Amino acid sequence: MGIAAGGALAACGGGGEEPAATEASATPRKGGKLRAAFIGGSAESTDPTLAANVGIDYVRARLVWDTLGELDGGKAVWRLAESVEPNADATKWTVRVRQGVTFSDGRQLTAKDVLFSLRTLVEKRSPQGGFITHLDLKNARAKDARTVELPLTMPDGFFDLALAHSMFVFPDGTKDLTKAVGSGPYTLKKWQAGRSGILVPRADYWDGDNGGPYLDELELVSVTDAAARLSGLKSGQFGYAGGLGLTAVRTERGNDALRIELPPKDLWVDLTLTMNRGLKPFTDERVVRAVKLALDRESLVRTVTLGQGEAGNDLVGAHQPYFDTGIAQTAHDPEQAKKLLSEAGADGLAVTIRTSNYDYGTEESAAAAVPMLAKAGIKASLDKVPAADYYSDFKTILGTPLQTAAYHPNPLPLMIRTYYGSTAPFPLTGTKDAAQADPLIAAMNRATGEKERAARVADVQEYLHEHGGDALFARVPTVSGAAAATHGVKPRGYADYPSRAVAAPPPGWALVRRPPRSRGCGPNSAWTGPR
Amino acid sequence: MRAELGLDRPAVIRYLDWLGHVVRGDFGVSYASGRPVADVVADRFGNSLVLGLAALAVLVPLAVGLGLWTGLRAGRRGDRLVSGTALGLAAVPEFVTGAVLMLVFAGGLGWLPAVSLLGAGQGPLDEPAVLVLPVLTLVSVCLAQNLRLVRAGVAEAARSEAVEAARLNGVPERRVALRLVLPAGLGPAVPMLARSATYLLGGALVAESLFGYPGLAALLVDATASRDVPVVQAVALLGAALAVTANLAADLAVPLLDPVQRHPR
Repeated sequence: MGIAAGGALAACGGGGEEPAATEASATPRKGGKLRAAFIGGSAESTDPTLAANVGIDYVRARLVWDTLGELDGGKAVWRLAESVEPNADATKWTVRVRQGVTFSDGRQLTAKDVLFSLRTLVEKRSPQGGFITHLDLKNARAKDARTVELPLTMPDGFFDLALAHSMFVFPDGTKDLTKAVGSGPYTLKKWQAGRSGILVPRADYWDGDNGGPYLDELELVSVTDAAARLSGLKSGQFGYAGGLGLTAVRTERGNDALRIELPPKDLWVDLTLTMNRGLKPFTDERVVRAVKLALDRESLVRTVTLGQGEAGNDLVGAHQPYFDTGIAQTAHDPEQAKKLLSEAGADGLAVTIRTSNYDYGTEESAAAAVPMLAKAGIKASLDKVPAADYYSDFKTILGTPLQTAAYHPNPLPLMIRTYYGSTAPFPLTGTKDAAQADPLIAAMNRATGEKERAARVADVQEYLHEHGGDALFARVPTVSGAAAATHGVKPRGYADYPSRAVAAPPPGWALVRRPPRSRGCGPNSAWTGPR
Repeated sequence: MRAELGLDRPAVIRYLDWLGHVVRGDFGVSYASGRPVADVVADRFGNSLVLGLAALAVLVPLAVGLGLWTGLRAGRRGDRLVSGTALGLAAVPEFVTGAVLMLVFAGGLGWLPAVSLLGAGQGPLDEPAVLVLPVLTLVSVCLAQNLRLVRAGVAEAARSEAVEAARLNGVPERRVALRLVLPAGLGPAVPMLARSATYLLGGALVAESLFGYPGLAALLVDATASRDVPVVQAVALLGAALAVTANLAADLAVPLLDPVQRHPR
């Protein structure tokens, strides 16, 4: 899912403030105005339950509504929650709500607000709400003013990661969500869809002791075209711009007027060739292995990611806390691939790769893979589909043996649940191997305690590396740029992805499509999962 | 969901239903934003209209003036220079022209904004500077074809017997040019101008997206990519209405210019 996606969006640092400091002064300076450009779109809204669908909405939301917690380097850092604890079998989680937090209309934050917000995020089918659909809404309750009890309909030892994932909090009983107030560092003074939003700082921000909010005024400007965002940054109209596209890394090298910024690696996007293990010829494990060996990952990193990305190891969620770094990197070995194919009786195998330019690097990597597969004796052809149609037909996606995919970063255990196993909402690699994968994933879901959690996630990863259908060959950063005088804007959370119309996916989920890449901003998510 | 969106009914019925609402001024609700389509489109159309009218206000006098000037000296050095320049500009794609203008006037000189930003609640007339580069881009693209047609018409009219007779009768050259040559020469160019008007008023996609101008064409692309059918329908309808209106106006204007058509024998 995602709330998708890859970093670069910068919903600001710690307290959600964007300090206007100079490099020389290590400490941020108060005051000043910042104008920042992000991708917008026709779906822009001030409703927090829709905020994860559009890049600029997400950034604004992170500034206006504080969240229960946030993910920093894949770890949960609690904000409006003071602590989040599971019971022994992870079937009930207890959230302790922070004291002394006020909404911008002066109301105190209470447990009721938290419960109402979570309920609304689930009921309104927001992307982040999709990660907590197993929350037992009937029995969830505010035990007292500061305690929320959240019973689950199945055990989940990673529920804290979901709760730290963009759960915006607004007051209990808010009727018109587009006017919902928040407890964040800024309030929205003026806004028009497709144009801009003007945010002003709050004097009574609860986390003001940490320094923020720093700016006198922050204007978030909606610009759909990536090239226009870059032009505006270069000409000094913007102090910051998100979603610039990888080429900017090269074209702006040596431009002293701005800095190109890449998010930490745990917020990069995973590019993969997805093989459906339930469909021929990938029912044979040797064929799957052969495809993984045939890909020259270093070459793909050089060409498709312009040398800015890194090689993937067939596993989602690299550089996150639970990622198993002990698993050996899949080699590039076309000879071995040939041997495996011939053992499988698949000499002269012909395959079709379904692809589209819906996301950065998908179509390019499919094209680059064709000659690599040819070296291993696989005759591959491309089936290019218009970007807007790529995800519109879910049946086709699940019935395609080989296709490209771009997985946007989410907490690793949640990504595993999203893409693998028989209960996954987006099982691109098929569900035929459920007998092996499901027990491992179920054990992962039940795990509590750091050691146990790490071990169970590692089990699943070992299985996926050996038997999974994803040839995840490269990881790509999202790109943003800051004017020389702008500092301290950090990528936080997962947003950089414009999402669009909602198709009709499996119950409780929705696909969100993005427009063709040319208009988008660099790596963007193909879907934002759970709805 | 299918029932909610009415997809369980036959396409013809859905179309008639839509048509019935449109006649009553109800364009439905955008799938993407949930806002009424009329609001979404009206805002963008207003912006495109301002941009288009501004471009036309530059284009028409320039095309007619230069067309007359070059037509009267067809084949001479001044004509070759102006026509050549205009054709050269037309041969360069919009996105190149726009990027070069942006590089020079926004990047290099810093006189004009690179991105046509309009803040919340602002219209393009509040920030006229945002119109300059898009207008220049659009004019450079549309100028040549209009200028060439005016020039051809003028050149032909200048060789006509009526003009020769007027000259022989001692009518001053200025009067000949403005009263005889220009009206006759404009006739063939008017439909082309109408086509340019349709293009400019209905939203010029490349210029809009290059400069981040919040116009109609950018909305159409956005709506198409997100399969926001009600918005696409409304924009398409508006575009069709514009084309019909502009062509009708052109057809009505031609006889006014040409005495021969005004007084059929």
